[in-house]
Amino acid sequence: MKKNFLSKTISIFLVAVITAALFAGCGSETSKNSSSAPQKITYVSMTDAVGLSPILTNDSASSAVIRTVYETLFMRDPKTGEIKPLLAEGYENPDPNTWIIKLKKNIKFQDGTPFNSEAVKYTFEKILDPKTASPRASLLKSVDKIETPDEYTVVLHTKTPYGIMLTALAHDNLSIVSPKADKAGDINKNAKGAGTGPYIFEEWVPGDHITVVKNKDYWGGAPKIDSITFKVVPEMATAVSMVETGEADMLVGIPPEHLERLKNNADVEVTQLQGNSVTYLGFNFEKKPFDNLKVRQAIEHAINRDEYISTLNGLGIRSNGIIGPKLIGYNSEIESHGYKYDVEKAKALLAEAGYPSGFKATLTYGNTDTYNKIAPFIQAQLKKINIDVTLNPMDWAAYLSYAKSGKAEMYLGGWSNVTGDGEELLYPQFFSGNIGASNYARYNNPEADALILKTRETIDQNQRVEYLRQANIKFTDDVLWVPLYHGVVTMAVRKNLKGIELESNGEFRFNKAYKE
Amino acid sequence: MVKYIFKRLIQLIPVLIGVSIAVFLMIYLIPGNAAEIIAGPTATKEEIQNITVKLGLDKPAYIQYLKYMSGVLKGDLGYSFQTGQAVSKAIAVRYVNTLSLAIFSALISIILGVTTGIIAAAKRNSWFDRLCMGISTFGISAPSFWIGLLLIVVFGVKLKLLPISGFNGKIWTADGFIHLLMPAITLGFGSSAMISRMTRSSLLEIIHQDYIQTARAKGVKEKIVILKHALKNALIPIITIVGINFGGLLGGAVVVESVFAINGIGRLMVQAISARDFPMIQGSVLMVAFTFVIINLIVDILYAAIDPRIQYN
Repeated sequence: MKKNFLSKTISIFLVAVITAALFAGCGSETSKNSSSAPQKITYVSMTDAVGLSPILTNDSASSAVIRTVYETLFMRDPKTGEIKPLLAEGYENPDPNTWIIKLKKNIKFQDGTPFNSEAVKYTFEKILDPKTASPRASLLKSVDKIETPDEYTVVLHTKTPYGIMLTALAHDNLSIVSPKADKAGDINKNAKGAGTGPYIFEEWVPGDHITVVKNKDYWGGAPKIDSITFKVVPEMATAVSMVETGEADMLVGIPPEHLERLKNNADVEVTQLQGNSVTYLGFNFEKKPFDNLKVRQAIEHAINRDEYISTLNGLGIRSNGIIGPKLIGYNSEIESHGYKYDVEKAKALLAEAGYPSGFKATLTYGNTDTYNKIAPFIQAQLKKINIDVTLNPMDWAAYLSYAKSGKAEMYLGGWSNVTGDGEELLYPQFFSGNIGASNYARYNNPEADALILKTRETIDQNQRVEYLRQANIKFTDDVLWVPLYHGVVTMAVRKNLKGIELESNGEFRFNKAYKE
Repeated sequence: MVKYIFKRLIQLIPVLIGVSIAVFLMIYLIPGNAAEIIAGPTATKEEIQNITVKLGLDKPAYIQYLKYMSGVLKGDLGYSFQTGQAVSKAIAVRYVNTLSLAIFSALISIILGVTTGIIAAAKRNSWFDRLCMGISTFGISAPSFWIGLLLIVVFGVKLKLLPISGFNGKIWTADGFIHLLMPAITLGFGSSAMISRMTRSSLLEIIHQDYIQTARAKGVKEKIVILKHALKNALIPIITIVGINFGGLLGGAVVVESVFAINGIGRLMVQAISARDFPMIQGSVLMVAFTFVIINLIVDILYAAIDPRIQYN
């Protein structure tokens, strides 16, 4: 009898499991069919968008969606990095403080509102209004007055010359919004009809997915893709599995440990491209002994960057400069600057600086996978020259506050340039006016400030690039950072999805995408 | 009994107020604030200041708290600092998902845990008993994210039997069911291990008592002895552990929600804490605390239903 009871229970359990598996099998067949439905893309993102309005957001997940719905006046050529017109037709500079921008005609927002100078004025004035609290208002900080002499001309008057105006106007957060849509509702939550882009916002289930659909009337020609779903998948291993099985079509920003797995999958194409991000070791110049150049030089000499880069599975590149190879302002002569790995020289410099037996210091960083891996490496490298490093990992929000308030001694950071211009790196990080905000180094040097302002204000682009070159040499020689490695951007795409081009800032457009 | 339930529900109020003050103080005292996160690392001082003013974070702490609580008393949980979405709406969507996951995994864990626990006790020291206890030790010690990723690789990537991610919030549909199967097994496995061990030990204690021997001596079938005479008396500790586990499933589902990309309340809380999104943290913690209290109440009522010796006045 007992035997009977046991075997009955086990068989009931087995039947339940088999039924569930069969049931599941049927279901997955259905979903397989629907995923192979033509011209639909599922893109996996680690985080959800913060919002859908370019005016109110400043994160990469939101930008990925914003780039499909809205457009900027200018854009960066994905191949050359050159700034070229998008919604604009062209521009003129009658004087360094005036930008006359001619707009393309016969373009309409998705809600039917005509795209014209009024729409540009409305968008920029809203960004500049302190009540809007736009996180990227600083992109237009120099703008004093906006005029619209006719329907297709916008004149931007600046207080001081603003040499990076075109770069700023190519920034996703300066995308033009439909005044009608913006006034009618909150486009940060529902962006239906709010842009001029190739896709129209359809649905947002916060925390789960965002869907955009084809804009049949797109001025640049209707895209081939019917809909794109931006699916939130916080776990990278899951996202990788989804691309492997075809549950998702593409993924960007793949960490080194998952790269091989995707490369070995015959159905997936992996793109690796030299990027414009930099991962660095920074110093607080207000804390001793980091104000001492010899100490900073010793630290750079003590870190074997090549050894660390060899662990990145090809996802890091050695370049000695703070402004990396993919940024405007880079010049290959920088590779003869910087300080090579040489422990003996490091020790000698430390002794010259007055620290023959080393010192104690704290290294602060946000506890992400990237920095959790770098920090112990730096600790071990500096131990060789008797610098006793205490690791101080923090959650991201705490790290931002800590670093901004000048409490960190040494810190780890990463910087990715959306615009691809070296100025976008130098001004926030090293301009004294940004101490207490993005200048975590609390670097305050009038000579450096003057040079940074020149890289920002010079209208003649060749001259501006020359100032960036000079700044790169000066800041690299002065070891404002130890550039640990320059990034490589990655993208994994199912092989039947074509026409998506990855850019060096890690971004991409779906305009020419199609499925075979 | 009705009076007792009413009394317990009244007790909820100070509990929730206490929770809200604790959460507020924690968020206020830990470093980092929402405006800095929204502004991002590139932000200038003006940008951070404008966002701080817009969110009302420039006001004194007690005013921020009182303003928030006055809204809560009117049934308004406020708006997310980060996304501007209504907190109540954001929680509602995710709560359904988490609750579905918790109920499904609780069912799996109860069925699996109680069944194996009973058989293991009835067949003490047999190969089945040893196998069950071995598996349950593994179940308790194996981290859920590892089990989840293992299931994904086997059933999702290799066998292509089950979908890897997402859940539509409708467990009663075939699509909802298959999407929730792997996450529920992942979450329910550890919990079933605990229930299995508890059922076994609780039953073993009972089946050596005199009244069980008497029942057997009277010739009652073993199945009846175990399931009717013994199990009913062994149920109290089992229900306790099921109740505690269910609460844990609600709050602790965050890892499984992340692994299987389920839009649940655990993940919402983690995101909100990372962004120092006070209204969202407060709303979701209050909701989870509320659920915990209600589950405890249900467990207490179940005690009385099972054991007539327990009475509430």
